[in-house]
Amino acid sequence: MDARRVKTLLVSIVALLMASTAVAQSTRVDTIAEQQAEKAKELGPEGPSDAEMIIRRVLLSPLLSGGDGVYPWFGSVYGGSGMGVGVGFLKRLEKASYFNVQTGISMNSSMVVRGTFAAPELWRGMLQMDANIQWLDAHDVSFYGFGQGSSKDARDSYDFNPFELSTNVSLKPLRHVFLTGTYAYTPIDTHRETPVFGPADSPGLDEKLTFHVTRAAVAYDWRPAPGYSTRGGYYRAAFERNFESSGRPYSFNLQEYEVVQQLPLVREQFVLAGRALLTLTDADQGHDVPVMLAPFLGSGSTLRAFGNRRFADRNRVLVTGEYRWRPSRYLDMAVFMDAGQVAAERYQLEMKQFDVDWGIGARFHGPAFNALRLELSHGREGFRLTFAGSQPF
Amino acid sequence: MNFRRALLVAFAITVCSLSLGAQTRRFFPDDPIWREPITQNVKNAVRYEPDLAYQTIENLFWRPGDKVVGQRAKNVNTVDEVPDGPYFVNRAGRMRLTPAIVARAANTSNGPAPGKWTIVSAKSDGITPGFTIRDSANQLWFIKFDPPGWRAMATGSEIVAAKLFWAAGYHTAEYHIAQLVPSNLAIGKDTRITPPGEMARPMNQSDIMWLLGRADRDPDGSYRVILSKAAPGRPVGRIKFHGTRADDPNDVVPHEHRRELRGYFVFAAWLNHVDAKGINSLSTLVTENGRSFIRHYLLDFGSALGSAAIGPREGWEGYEALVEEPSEIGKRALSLGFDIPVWRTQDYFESPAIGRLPRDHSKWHPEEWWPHITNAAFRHMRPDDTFWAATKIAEIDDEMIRAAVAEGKFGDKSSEEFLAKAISDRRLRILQTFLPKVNPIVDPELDPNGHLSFRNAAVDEAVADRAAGYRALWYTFDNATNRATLVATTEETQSPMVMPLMPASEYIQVDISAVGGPESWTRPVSAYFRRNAEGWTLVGFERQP
Repeated sequence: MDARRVKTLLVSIVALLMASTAVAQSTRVDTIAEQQAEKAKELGPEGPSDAEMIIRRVLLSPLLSGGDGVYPWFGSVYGGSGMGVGVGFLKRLEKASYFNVQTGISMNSSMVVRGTFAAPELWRGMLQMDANIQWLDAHDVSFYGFGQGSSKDARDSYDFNPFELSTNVSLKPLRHVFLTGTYAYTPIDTHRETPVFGPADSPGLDEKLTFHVTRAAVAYDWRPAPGYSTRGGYYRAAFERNFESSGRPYSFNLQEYEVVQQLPLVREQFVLAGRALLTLTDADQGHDVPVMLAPFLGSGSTLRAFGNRRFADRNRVLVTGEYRWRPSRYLDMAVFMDAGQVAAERYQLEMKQFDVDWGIGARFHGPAFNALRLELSHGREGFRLTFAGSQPF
Repeated sequence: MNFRRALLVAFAITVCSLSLGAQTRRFFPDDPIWREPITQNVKNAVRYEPDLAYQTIENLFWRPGDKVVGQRAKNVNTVDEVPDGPYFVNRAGRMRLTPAIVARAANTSNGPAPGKWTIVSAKSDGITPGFTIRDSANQLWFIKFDPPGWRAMATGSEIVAAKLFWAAGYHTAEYHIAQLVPSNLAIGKDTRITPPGEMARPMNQSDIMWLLGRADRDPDGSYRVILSKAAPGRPVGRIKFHGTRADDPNDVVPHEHRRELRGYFVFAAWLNHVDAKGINSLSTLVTENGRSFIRHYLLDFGSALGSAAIGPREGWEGYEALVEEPSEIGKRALSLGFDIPVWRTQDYFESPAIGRLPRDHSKWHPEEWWPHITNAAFRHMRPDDTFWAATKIAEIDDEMIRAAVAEGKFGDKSSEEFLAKAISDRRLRILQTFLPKVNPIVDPELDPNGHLSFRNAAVDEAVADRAAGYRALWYTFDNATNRATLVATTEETQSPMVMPLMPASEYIQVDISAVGGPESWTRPVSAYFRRNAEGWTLVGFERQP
C-alpha cells in the first residue's frame, strides 16, 4: 500500500472509532439515556388495569359504597326459609332520611317485598321516625306442636302470608338509651295443605287474622356496634299488645326481657359472651296465642342444634354462653352452649327441663358487622349446621 | 492484503472491539453517577389515582411485580448507593445534617401568608375533616386536624415523621403547625361539597361548622391544624411500587427494583408509618431547567408513630398487616386463642398528645414490622437494601430526633420525651438488626501510598463486636472484559491494610471480608479502584446480600 492509502486507512479507522463511540455509549449517563430514549418511543397512558376497573365498579355499587341506587340483596326472607337473594333500591335524603325498597326470594320460593321510609332525624338525631310496609309469602314454616316434649316426627308446615304496615318512633334521650314505640297493622293469612294437628292444637292456623300490634321497648345498649362487637352489653325490655280485630280469640300480651353481656379478656383476645332471653305471653280471657306468633326455640340464634321453630309455646327461656377467641381481626371462633325451654305456663319453666346443645363456630366479620357465621352444633336430635349473616346475639 | 480488504478488516475489528467493550465494560468514565439522568421530557402524563381497595386486593392476592425475588437493586450506582433522583435525594450520610436542618426540613417559608384562608375544597368523606385553602398570596395549602380528644396527636406525629423522612432523603412537603380561627375561613365562590349521602352542592357556612365539629377544638374556639404546602407541579398520580409509569420515558427501572423504595420499609418501620402505601404519596409533573419530569413525594404521615389519624394507634398496627397471614390465622384458630400475639399483652404508653405506642422498644423486631399493606418493593427487599437504609438512619442522631419531635409542638413535655426516646430506641434496634446482617464494611479508600482504609458500620455504631481481623484479596481488574486476576491475599487486624505489590493495572479489585466475626461478615465486599493522576478513586462497590 502506498502512503496515501495508509493515510486513508488510518483516517477511516479513527473516523470509525469516533462514530462507533457515539453509537456504543461512552458514559453511564449515555447508557441510561439510550434506555430512556427507547422507552420514549413506546409511551402509553398511565391508568387503571382492566382488573382495577372491575373492582372500582363493584365497590361503587350501593351495596358496598352505601350510596344511592340499585343494589343486590342477600339475606333471609323469613327464618327457616333458607338463603335469600334479591334486589334493593336506596335513595338517601337530607338529615339521614332515606327511602329503601327490597324484594327477595329464598331457596324454598318464599318471597318478600318491603319498603322503608326513614324521616329526617330531629333534635340532632335524638328522635327518628320511620314507616314500613311489607308483604311476605313464606312457605313451609314448621310447627311441631306446642311444648318442649313435641316430637320431631310430628312436623306440620304452613304457608305464612302476613302483610304489615308499621311505624316506629325511636327516641335516644341519653347516650346508649333507646326508647322505641311501634304500631303495626298486620293482616295474616296461613294455609296448610295436609294438616298434622287439628284446630285445637294449632290455634290460628288456616284462619285469616288481623292484628293491631302496639309495642314499647326500652333498651340500654353500650356495645360499640350492634352488628358486631367484642365488649359492652345490651339490656332490653319490651311490652307488646297484639289485638286481633276480626273477632277471633287470638289477642294476647307479650313481655320480653333480654340481657347480652360481653366480657373481653387480654385486650379482646378472648371474649366471654352470654345471653339470657325470657319471653312471656298472657292471652286474653278465653283467647289463645296463635302458632305463628308464639315464642319459639330452635334456629341459628336460639337453640342452634335444633331445627327452625322446633319448640313453640306461650313462654320461653333461653340461656346461651360463648367462649370466643380471635384468630384474626376478621375472624372470630367460638365454642358455645345453648339451653332453653318453652312451656305453656310460666311455672313450668325450670332448668332441669332445659334442652341443651353445644357447638363450635366461625364468624367472618368487619369492624361493625357480621358477614358470615358458620356453626356446627350438637344436641339430642343430632348435629346441625348453621349458615347465617348475623351475630347469634 | 489489498487496500479494500485492509479497510474492511480494520472496520470489522474496530466495530467488534467497541461493541465488545461496550457490552462487557463494567465502569464508565463518569462512574459513579450521583444524579439519576433525566434526559427526556415528559409530555403527556395524565393524572391517575389508583384505587386503594384494588391496591390492597392486588398486593394480597396477585403480588404484582417481578416474580424473581432476590435480585440486586437496579438503580444503585456503581458504589452501591442511590443517586439523587425523582424519589430520593442523598441527605443523611451525604450532607452534613444538624438538628436545625432536620427541624427545618423541606420548609422554605414561615407558613401561609397573613390574611383570610379561602376554602377551595373540603374533605367530607373521611372520618376526620380536611380543607384545601388558598392563602392571600394565592398559595395552595392542605389543612388537617386532630381528632376530638387527641390534640396534637395526628398533626404532631405527621410533622415529626415528615421531618425525619426528609432527613433520610425522601421528597416531602413543607409542613407547619398553626391555629385556625373559624372566622378566618372564607368560602371560595366556586367551592362545592358532597356531604355523605348527598349530591354535590355549593358549600356554605354550616358545612364548615359541621366539618369542624369532627375536629379537636381548643377552649378558645380555635383549632390546631397542620398545613402542608402543595407540592410544586401538576399532580399526575401516586407512587407505584412495581413496574414503571407508562407515560414517563425517564422511568426505566421497575420500581420494585429501586433501592429507595425497598429501603422505604426500614424508614417506615422506624417511624411506625403503617400507612406507607401508594395513596399516601404524590407524583407531580415539574419543569426545571427546561426539562419536564415527574417527581415523587411522600405525604400523609398522620398514621405514623402513636397516631392512627382518627384515634390512637391500635395495638396490632405495625405488628400485623391489614389482613393477617393465613398460616398465622390457622395457628391461632387451632390454639383456642392461646397463641396470643405480643401486641395484645405488651405495655403501652398512651397520652392524648402522642397517641399510643409500646412502652418498651428494646426488644422490638424491625424485620417483623408490618405496614397495613405491603408492596412489591418491600417484597423484593434484600439485606443489602436494609443495610443501606440503616446506614442512613445511623446518620440521624438523637439530637436530630429531638429537634424533629420538638417541631411537633405536642405541648406535653413528658409525652415528647417519651416519643423522642421511642424513636431513638427504635433507631437503635434498626441498627442492631440491619447493620450486622451483611458484611458492614463501608467507605473504602485507597490512598496513594497503598493504604486501604475502611470502616465497619456495625462496629462504629456499637451494635456489634469488633472482628478479629480482615482479609483482603487483591486483584488486577480488566474493565474491558470484566475479569479479575488474583494477585495476593493479605490479612490485618484492622484498617488500614497495606496494598501488596501489584502489577501495573488501571483498575484493581479488593475483596474484603472479616475474620472472626459473624458468618455474614465472611461474605466479602468488593471494592474497585481506578488509578488516576493523584492515586486511586473508588469507582465500584458491591455488597453481598
